Amino acid sequence: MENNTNNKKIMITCKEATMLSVQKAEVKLSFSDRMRLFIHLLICQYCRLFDKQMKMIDKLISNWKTDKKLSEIEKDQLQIVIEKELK
Amino acid sequence: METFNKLNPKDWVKKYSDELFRFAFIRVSDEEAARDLIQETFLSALKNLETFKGEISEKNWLYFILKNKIIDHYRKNAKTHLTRIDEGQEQDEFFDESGHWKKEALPNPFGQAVNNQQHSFEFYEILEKCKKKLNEIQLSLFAMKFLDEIDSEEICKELEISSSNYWVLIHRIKLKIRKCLEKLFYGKQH
Repeated sequence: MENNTNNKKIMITCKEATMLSVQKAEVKLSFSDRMRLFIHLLICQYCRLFDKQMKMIDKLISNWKTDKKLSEIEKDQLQIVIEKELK
Repeated sequence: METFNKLNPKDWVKKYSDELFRFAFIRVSDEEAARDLIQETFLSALKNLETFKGEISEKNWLYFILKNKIIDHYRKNAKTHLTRIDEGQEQDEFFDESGHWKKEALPNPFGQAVNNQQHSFEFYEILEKCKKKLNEIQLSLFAMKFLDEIDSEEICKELEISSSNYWVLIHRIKLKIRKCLEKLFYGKQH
């Protein structure tokens, strides 16, 4: 998986910096992209916060839980469907 | 003599339905769709009883069928929303033309509330609400990437999208989820 950044400037925008923050969770950034992101994060508190929050969100999502259940009626219906099919 | 796993379809609902339902619900974000997927899984299992060789457990076999049903579901969703994929055309709610944060989109800290609730169901209910802000294709991609941990290249193939489309979508998904978490937790604290 490539992350194609054609931009060769050292200074990048917040839009580009947040994209790099997102990409680095999945792919190894090139040396120049790592430098660009590093420099941007040094001077931009908002993207720095975004970068930090991304790490946290990734961790939370991977532990996703739910306590949802099927109702007894729904289970009975499923049971009927199965029994019917078995006959 | 070797013992092979056996199938007992009459016990499936009692033993596995809640677990399979939770698995599906987290991925499709829709109770009705999740219920349908469970029923389809059981029916498809019943039609293919003879393919079960007993090398894996009954439970894993049902999960295997359900996972395939869920991938079909993602694919169908993505296909019907292909026109929306070109998100570059969509108005950017986060950045202005020069690529800087729009004033109303500037990130704020989440506050203590998130840290205290990371592992509670309540937190995930909020995350669930935030997930609803995503459109269909974003939802499918979100589930494939973050819940099923499917490889990015595989996702592009399944959903028939280019790698640059993929990054635009992932970027947008994360901006939206972050914004929504900030908003709901800020609201809770004050």
